[in-house]
Amino acid sequence: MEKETFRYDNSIVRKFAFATMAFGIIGMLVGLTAALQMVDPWFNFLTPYLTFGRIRPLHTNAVIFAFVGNGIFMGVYYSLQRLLKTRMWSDALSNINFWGWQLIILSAVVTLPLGITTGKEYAELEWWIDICIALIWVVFGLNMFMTILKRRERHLYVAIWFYIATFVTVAMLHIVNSFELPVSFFKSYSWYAGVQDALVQWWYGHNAVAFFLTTPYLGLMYYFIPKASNRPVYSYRLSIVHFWALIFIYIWAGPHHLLYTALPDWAQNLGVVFSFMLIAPSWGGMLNGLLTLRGAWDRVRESAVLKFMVVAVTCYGMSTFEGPMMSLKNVNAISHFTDWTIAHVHIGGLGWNGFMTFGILYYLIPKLWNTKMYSDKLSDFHFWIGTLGIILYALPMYWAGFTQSLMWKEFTAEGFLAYPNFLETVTQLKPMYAARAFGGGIYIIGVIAMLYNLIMTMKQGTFQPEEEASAAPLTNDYTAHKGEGWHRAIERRPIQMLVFSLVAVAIGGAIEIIPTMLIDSNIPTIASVKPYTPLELEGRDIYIREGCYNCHSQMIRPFRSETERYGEYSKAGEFVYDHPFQWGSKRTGPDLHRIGAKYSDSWHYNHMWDPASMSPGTIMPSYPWLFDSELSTDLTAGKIRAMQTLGVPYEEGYDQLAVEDLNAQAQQIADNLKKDGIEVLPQTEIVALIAYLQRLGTDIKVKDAQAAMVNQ
Amino acid sequence: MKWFNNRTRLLSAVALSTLLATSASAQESVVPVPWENIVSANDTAVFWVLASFAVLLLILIWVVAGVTKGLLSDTELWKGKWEQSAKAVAVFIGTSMLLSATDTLAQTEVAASPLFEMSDGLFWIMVVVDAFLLFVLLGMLYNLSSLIKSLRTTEAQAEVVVEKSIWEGSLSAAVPLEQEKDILMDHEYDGIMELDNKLPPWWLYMFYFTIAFGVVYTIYYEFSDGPSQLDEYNTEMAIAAEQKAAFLANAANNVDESTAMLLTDASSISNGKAKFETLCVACHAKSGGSTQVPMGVGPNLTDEYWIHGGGMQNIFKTIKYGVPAKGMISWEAQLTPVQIQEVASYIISLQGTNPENAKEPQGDIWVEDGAVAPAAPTDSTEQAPVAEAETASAAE
Repeated sequence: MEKETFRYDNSIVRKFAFATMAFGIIGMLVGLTAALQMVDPWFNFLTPYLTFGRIRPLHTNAVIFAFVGNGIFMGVYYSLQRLLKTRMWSDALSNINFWGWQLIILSAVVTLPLGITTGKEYAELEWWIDICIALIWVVFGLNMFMTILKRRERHLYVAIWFYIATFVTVAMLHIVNSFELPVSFFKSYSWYAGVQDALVQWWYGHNAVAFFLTTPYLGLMYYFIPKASNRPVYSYRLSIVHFWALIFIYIWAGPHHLLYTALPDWAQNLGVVFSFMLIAPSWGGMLNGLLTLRGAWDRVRESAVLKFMVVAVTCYGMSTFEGPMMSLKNVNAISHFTDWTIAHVHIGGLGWNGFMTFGILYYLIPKLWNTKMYSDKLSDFHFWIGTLGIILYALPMYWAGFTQSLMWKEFTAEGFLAYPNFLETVTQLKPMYAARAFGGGIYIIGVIAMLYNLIMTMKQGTFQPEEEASAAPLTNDYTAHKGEGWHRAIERRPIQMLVFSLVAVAIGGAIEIIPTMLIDSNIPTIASVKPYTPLELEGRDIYIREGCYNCHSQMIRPFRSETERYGEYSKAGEFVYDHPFQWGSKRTGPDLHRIGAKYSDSWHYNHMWDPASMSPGTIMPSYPWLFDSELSTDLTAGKIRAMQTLGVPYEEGYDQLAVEDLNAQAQQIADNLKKDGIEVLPQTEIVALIAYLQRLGTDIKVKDAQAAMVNQ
Repeated sequence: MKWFNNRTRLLSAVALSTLLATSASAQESVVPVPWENIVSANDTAVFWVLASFAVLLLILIWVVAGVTKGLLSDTELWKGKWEQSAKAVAVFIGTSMLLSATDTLAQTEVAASPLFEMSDGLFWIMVVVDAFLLFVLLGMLYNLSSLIKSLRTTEAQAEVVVEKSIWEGSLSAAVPLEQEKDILMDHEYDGIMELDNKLPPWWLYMFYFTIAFGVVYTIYYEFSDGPSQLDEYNTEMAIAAEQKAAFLANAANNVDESTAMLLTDASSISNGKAKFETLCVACHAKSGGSTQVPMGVGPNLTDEYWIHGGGMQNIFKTIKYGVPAKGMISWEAQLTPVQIQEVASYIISLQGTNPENAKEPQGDIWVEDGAVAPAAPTDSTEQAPVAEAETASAAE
């Protein structure tokens, strides 16, 4: 067969490489700012746009979708062409993918600090950005698939299986989780409420980790480790077993983020067992990566690329063992809501994704610029300071997590909480937060060294936008080898691969989500739980805008240490009007589910103005702008109508009365504050926020709760 | 076979340090205990059996190591000897330190008990040490036998003696590097080849184990009598209630609003002060006078005006039950009755301190001497908050 000559597109790889580098450093600097805010709220700079509640989503979005996202595209566009022996199907689609993705990131960078958010973790971007993400993702998938179809390599290499699974699953997760009802261009409500919203959200959130941070990077690992070490992949059949096991099992594990919450027990149990079964499939990837280096360890010592990748894969192995352990309910009872989780995700983020990306960059840049690294010493420096940074980041966070959890749970002989004041358990952690910021800081120094090194490397080389290669085209007269494995047949049928992957990931999600949606007994209703008043609804939207859920949970777990501290544990039926749910995932501050009627209005007023006045030593920032901004009621009627559409039982036509009710309630609160000597205009945002906080968790009295329990 | 010699040294170092540290702990634990106090002869016997077993294993390890060393005495294999020795010493020191830390723990436990009863911790440490030593010995014997086998082969074969570490050996079922080409698959992607190694057996068994765990877990919690999370909660609360009842049976703590008395001793006042300054400051200010500018939340507690009545009984009651309508929370769940008594006493001790920037008076003048009938203010507290609100605004 005559060989054909064609050219690989390196320009698109370069574009994504630049974006990866730029957003890497930006995302990490935002993270460092957030870390410093935990040490001293001064770093919130008293501006609404940079408070922790808005910066933290910016950090997670920048690091996950901008840094790692561009890293995925960089690696996929490079490896896919070479593994399939063809150029990308369409340069135009490649470029739409690139510029579209950067525009999405840009809109995130603008909207998140402005407080435009859906209030769902890792899915904070508003509805129109969600639509753009879906479109661009489809562009990526289409381009990838068309490239696969015109390939010159009959079988698909394991890396591409992972790319395909990534594409279908992320599309499914993103679309299902982003169902929301727009109220205006900048505001929408999640389609789901309460428990259902929580389940869908963490099904998404957990699998964003699985299919955005893990499977595409495993694909990259399968390409770059054998290339950089010049060794054959350790075991083809391990690839097959761990690939299918991983994608099938991963999708079930979401409920481990909701253990001991109001999620029904059966869903929690599924989350536990499938998380536990994930150890081996995850470690299959680690083993195949590390054992590929068998006989090449002498090269690891020499090569910065391999060194980074070895630590990356090791971190992957550590966090995929730790994750299943944290999914056991007795461990989760200690780790959940604490900094342990933060340590865990940063072993994955800084170690696995960060170091793998750096390894790929150190491999790619000299190749694309046809030169050698500018300075191997500097690469080495980056490696060591980065590794040290990971350790210094993680250890204080583990320590902080254990410390705080133990303090929360300690009782005195008299049967009282040993640390009844939540603040004591926070001030205790400040040194650890400082140490964490230091660890993160030196990790960033390493990244800066890398950027300098890579830029100097580019300067000394010449970029090759096109790379010539040749291969014979595929013919139609292929006959299968005798005795080939059954899996080979799937490997030459990309559509089957796609369909089987989709089936594998759809099963787990469907079995968990559909019954929770359809079977009433999963969420026992409580008659006394009523929809929010218009003012409370507006206050809730302010709560979401300011990102309060980043530090405060609204989920009291059925533990003695929590019911003593916060009050009656949270019931599924209490959240039926919460679009979106606001259970949170981390308690930097106390749980707020039963904060209603616990303090006076004036306490909240003073506390939001200057938290340290009510809680000396607190790390919560002040919110002075809530006291000046007038509460806009333009959207109130629309919000009520949206809620009616979503099934919240406001009376017909209530949208027309809503603003009147809102003003009356605001006046009441203002009068109340006046009695305590506080003059406030009823139309300010703080009044709405106080209304919401004072409502939280007050719908049920303990008697009702017991009745609800009996019904369960 | 370099790794072999390396490993032997490391393992011996670990084994030796383990044993030394364990025997040291045994001495420390046993010596201070008079023989006549030892009732649990079994424990002692078990301890000595375990310890002797460890010594025996160590001796055997030593012997096997010596034999192996003899067999390996030809040159090439001993390169880098010093580097390895240094490593062995480091491991020795590390393990000893770790174990001595465990010792200290075990010792504390033993010291706390008047008799020498081997603690569970010590027992398991000993078992683990013995098991570990046994494992080491077996490993060394296995290596020795394979060494002897390899020495028996012809010289030509001996040159290609395959290095097998544990990873490459029975645990991984990996085909040795030298024979790799036999399992190299017949495809190639951009220069990447794939081997067809078997699934590592330990990995596969781990996978089976996790699946079995999943099945058992599901059966137990879903289809059998595994407790739901609310069952767990109810059990936890029942145990706590029992403990609390036992504690409250202690009369010293059994104070309530009718029996609470003013305490004036310095330690009670300072206990009260400590609680006040962590729990009450948020609303009442550190001075107890709340603040004028900016307007504090809680009323001034240092003047003679009281919204819910002054005096021990009223203050005790206000602290205990709170006045939720006015923002005063109930402290019943966070303070013991005695602590409430102490805090109330401290508050009374603040009378007339007249701090700077104190809030203006609210409520009525309280006269302690009984001129006001004790029942009256109590009643007013229990009346609707409207009455209080009126008095409060009247005070303004």
